Amino acid sequence: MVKDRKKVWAALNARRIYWIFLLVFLILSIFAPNFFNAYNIGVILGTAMLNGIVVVGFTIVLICGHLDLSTVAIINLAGNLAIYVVEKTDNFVLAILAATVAGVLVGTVNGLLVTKAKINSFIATLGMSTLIQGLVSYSNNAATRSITNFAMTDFLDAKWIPLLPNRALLAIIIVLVMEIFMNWTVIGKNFYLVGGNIESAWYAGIKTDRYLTSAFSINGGFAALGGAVYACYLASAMADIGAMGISPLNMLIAASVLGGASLTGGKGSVLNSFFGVLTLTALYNGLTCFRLGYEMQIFVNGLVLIVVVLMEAVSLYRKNKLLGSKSDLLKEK
Amino acid sequence: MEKETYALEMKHIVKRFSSFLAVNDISIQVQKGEVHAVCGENGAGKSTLMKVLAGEYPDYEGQIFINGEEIKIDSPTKAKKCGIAIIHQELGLARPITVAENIMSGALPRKKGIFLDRKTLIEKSKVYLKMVGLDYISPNALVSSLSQHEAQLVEIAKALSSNPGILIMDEPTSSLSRDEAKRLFGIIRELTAQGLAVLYISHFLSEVFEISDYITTMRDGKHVDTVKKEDTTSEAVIRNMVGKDIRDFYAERKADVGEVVLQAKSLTRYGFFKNISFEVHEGEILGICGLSGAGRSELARALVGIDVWDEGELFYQGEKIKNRSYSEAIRRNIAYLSEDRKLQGLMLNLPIGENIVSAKTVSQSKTFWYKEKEETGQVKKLMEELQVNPPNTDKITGQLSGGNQQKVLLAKWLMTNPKLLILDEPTRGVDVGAKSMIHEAVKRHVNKGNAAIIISSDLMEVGGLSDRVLILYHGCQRGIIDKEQDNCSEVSLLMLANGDGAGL
Repeated sequence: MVKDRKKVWAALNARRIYWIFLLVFLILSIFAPNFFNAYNIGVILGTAMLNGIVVVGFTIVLICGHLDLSTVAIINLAGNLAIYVVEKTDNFVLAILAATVAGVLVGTVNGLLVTKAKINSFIATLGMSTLIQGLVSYSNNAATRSITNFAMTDFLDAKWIPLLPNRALLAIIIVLVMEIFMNWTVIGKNFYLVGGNIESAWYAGIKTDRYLTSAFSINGGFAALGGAVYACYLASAMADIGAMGISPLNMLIAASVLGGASLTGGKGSVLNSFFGVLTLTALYNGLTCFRLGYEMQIFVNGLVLIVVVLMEAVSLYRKNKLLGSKSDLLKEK
Repeated sequence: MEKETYALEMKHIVKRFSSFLAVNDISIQVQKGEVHAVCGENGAGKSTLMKVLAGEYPDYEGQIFINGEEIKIDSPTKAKKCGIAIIHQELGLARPITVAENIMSGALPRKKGIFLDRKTLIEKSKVYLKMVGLDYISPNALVSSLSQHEAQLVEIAKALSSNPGILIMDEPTSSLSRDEAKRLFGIIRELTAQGLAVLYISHFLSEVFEISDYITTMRDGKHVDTVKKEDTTSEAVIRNMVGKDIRDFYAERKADVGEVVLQAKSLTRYGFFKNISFEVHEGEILGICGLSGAGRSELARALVGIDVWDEGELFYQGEKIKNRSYSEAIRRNIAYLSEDRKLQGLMLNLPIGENIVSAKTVSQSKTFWYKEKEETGQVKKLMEELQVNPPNTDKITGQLSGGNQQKVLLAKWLMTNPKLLILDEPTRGVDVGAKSMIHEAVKRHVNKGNAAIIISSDLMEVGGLSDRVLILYHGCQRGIIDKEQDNCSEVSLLMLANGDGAGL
């Protein structure tokens, strides 16, 4: 009986993001004025685009058991670089491509700092974040860089599928492809093994350094792609997107942990993290429907993050308490 | 006639750590289908020998032959290629990952080049799960949802997935119950019947006698004896492991036994230990003896309030107490020297002096201010008594040798002048000189009218230092032997800790 209840709870917990998503959506639809209508849902999906793309790489780094604090700086670097290239060439494809390559490079350096120089990922990426952010702010005097070419804006606002702006479609395609990659290919699965227990993965002959480094490269790539597309969509790039409202970093951590990723690695899914982003975006959108300012959104974001991490800590504590106990002595109680 | 070829043959293996010989000229042969046990006390070099085979120490000396062919094992990959699979003492599984993926990790089956072949993955892992008797477990279950003995069996399944010719098991039963261990032996027998050679490391002698064909004993890195199981007894093996007699080493200590300091009545923590009862008096040392995994450290941690216990009562100087936290125990003047000095005991990047006063300033400071200077006199005196080298309070603790670090740890707690001193493995990894210095200091402290509890896997230490010894076997109390009355030799302690002989 107890075991059954545990199993049900485990099954619910593994898919928690879906029922949390439904619950949030349902409650807001009922109570929040002007929340549930075609226009607003389109807005939510569109708003989720930037974080939806970036969360893909962010989750992969988390699955490997690390945290990339330079993600927001890479978004800013990519946005500014893309706008700069468009200014010079008027070519959006070239701009996004150049920004993505830059992101991959930065990510790879992060990865090498962690694997080869053996620097703690927290410190390495914090340093990288400050470095890149300084560079970006210096290059455009901390101002906003803008263009007058709105071709990308129109394209991303268009709806090839009804209700779904193209920018949301782009995010969804990326998420689905990467979800399949992570769960259906051997390479993807090896990321989980590396994050689950790096030593046993090494003993099993998996090239752990290479996987870790590529996780950071992938994150750099997707952060840059998201940042570049977003800047092209807005036709402008701020020096620091994280300084306004909710920093994407907070959103990314809250969304992935809500989606089941663990800061200790080995767990998580790109798709679930994406639903985490959708849930939080819907939640903040709902708060504005109640005419609550973004100060409230920041507060709620912090609340969500702490509650979710607390849940994780409690279940870990329960497991650790029994670690090392002997089953026959346990049965006798 | 052709010379017999062994599945594994080690000839004159030597492994040095700077000048220290951890493994000194060991030769072992294992035939196909045979279980060869390696026994020895902690620090005898068993695990180092196994690590040589696992490819962790490419700088070993000597020769290793596999199926008659000489091979230099210089990396874990090489060892795996040669058909050596090793099951480590600590669990080496990725806990958030499924059973199937753990079993096949490093060699996940592919289809169409890059895609994961789930069907083969599940089918293959089912085969290996069946080999270890876990066919009731879904390959898709997460390792974190398994019990510890199931996880241990999954680890064996994982080792088998590389189709090894030689399986090395390092203390595979330390976290298993009797029944689970029995099941494991059944599995080992089936595997050896199919031609697998097994090298089995353990100090659970009853199990060694149950499963092995040959027994090799090691002591201080040296080979003592290799015998057929039928030709020996557990007492003979223990004598070989131990070598010398306790009484040669420890001078008699006269104890003036006073009031009861600590009394435990049927202490039980579900799953770890049960019904533990004992008394410690002033001027007395109580030893706790048991094999690793018997619940020794868990008991000590419960006594000082780090872990909780579920049933039973504890009396301290006549007062019924329940330490809700470690700091409460420290306030009651109980000191606990943890097993792991590096992680839990010392602040390695601070100077010796600060380490020594730290426990006292935290627990017994009367004022708000931190007054290190006032204590300098006593710190110096303790360092002199223990002969901490270098005798310089400003030296950074992390730069000292292991033995001197351990002395600093002891000095730190002696500073608080504890009524009850609990020592968990006080001399592990410590040289002989430092060891006797630590023993003398403990004796001096107890003779002042204090009590001590000493937990150690060094039987000489437990047997030699303590006045009475509590035997723990698999979480249960097997009795208390009195040094005065009973025959308390190291051999008898080890026999009891192994579950041999009638309970007292």
